Amino acid sequence: MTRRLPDSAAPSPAPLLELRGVAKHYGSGAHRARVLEGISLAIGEGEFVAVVGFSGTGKTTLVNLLAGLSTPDAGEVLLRGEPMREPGPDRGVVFQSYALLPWLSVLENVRLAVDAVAGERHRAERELRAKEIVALVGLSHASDKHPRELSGGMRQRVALARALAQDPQILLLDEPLGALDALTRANLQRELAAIALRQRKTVVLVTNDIDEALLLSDRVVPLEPGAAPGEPARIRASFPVAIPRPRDRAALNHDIEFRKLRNELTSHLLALGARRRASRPIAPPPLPPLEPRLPRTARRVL
Amino acid sequence: MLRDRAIRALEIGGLDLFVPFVRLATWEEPAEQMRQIGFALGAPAVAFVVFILGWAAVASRLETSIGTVPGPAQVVAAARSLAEEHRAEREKEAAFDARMAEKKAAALAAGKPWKERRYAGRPTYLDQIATSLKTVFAGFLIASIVAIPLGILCGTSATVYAAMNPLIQLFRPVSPLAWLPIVMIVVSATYTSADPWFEKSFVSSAITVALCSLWPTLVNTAVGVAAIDKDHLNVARVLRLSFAARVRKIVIPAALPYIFTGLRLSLGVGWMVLIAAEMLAQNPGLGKFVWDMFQNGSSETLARIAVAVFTIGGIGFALDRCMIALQRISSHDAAIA
Repeated sequence: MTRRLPDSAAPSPAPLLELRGVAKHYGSGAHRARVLEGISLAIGEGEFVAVVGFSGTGKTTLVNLLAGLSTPDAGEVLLRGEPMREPGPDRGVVFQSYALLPWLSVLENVRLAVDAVAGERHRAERELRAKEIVALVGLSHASDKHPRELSGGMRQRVALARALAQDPQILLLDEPLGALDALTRANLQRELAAIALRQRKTVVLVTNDIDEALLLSDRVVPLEPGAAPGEPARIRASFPVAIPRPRDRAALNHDIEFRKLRNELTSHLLALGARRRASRPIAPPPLPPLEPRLPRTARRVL
Repeated sequence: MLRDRAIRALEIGGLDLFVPFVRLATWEEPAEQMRQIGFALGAPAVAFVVFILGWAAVASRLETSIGTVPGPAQVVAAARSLAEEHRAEREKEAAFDARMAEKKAAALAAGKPWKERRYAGRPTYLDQIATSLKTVFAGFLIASIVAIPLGILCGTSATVYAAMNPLIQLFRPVSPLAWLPIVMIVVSATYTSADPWFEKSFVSSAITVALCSLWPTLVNTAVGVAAIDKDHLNVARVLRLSFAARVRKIVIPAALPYIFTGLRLSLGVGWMVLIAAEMLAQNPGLGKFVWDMFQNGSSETLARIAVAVFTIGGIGFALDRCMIALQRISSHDAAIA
């Protein structure tokens, strides 16, 4: 059962962050790539929204729009009801590539953000604040290390720490755990859930992992790829996740609501993918049979 | 560990050649180290010996208007006599200073006015080397001060780069010999001071060096800045860093390896150009030394010029090594293993 929510059904009263009929294209003329079109999404204060989509459907473009790093070609991006003009420290971004500065240590990377938002504070105070945040993500022991000396999971934590250090109202996470192994991923998912709960931030998590989306979010929004390659992606449906928190990963597997939502979402996305594949002029090479419980496999197939 | 630190220091200093010796000292795969030493030192040594022998054989057969072309032995002798001249000149200067100090004390005791006088001997070969180094660093400094900010500007703005590019391409290949007359005339017209800090010839040479050597730094800085990871710039945008903070905290550190590559090329070009500039501007450095030797045409002329050739080559090589070391220290991810 897919709940199709028109714009008006968005959380009340005025959403914190809202996309209204947004479109984004790259290039021009014959080379124009239509990445996103007709995207409407309203995010309420304190809400944790997960955007799920396959690779190459414009997830990063969506994050850039929400952060104000790029401007839409049509429609509007509203922040507290006002048109958004530029990025700012109230919207913390964890970039897909982490974007840590390799010439700065862990603490210095975090300090950069603290200094930018609290430059008027005393030096010692800022230093302390940066240390607190490094401790929050569990990296105190590595605070003098440089990014190249860290594992992928640790780099991810630094990226999260830097985003938290600017004390943002909204956290935008662009596939933050995408490059990590399954175990590290599970650990960080737990920490992310704890931090989001404790810090009461509004969070937009972009991911290709349906389980991750259901584990962490209040609402899952699939970013639907266009019917044919080259067609823009859209958002049409919204799946509220009514699973009480804190959610335990192991227990979730037996939760009826969780299994129902996962089946719905998986079949929803797979149907879209099948439609897209059918419209391809050349048939794809034969692939192993689908395993609906493993969205990562599904991603590869599609 | 001491060994690893020694190896790292050698690698940073561009002296990778000696790494096998350190490894050999700790008896790490001695056979392999010996092979590497044989390869890294043996081959160049053979080439060097062949060069010396060939030079000696050819030189003795070449007659010129001022005698035979000097072989290795004569050049070594010429180097010795240049060093000897330097020592003799310093002794004379010391003696002169001592005499002056005596006279000064006597004059002051007698209540007479005293005017300081400095020793006015000819600059020796070592003085000339020092002047050349000073000049090239002055030119290099001017070039860096102009080229790095301009390069950053070109790298951050595609418009500025598009505007500057034709000018860069136009002036980059210009020879120092073409710049120098213009620079000399402009310097004589504008640099007029009763008590100048620097000689005009020094200023002209330094500016000419700067004009010829700023291009590699400019182009490399622009390329380095343009190649900065877009995500890093997005970090600056999200944090709303000011232009100054962005340049200081993100742009310069990110582009530093490129900037150092440019500086290294610039210093090489500057050193090469300097000799020609000094010859014409009569700046008392190595270039003038070569020119003076050429003019006076004594029996030792060719040998002394050959000494200058080796000095110029040796100093150029040493400067390049220093810049490689700086470049390796500055690169934040590539060279660090």
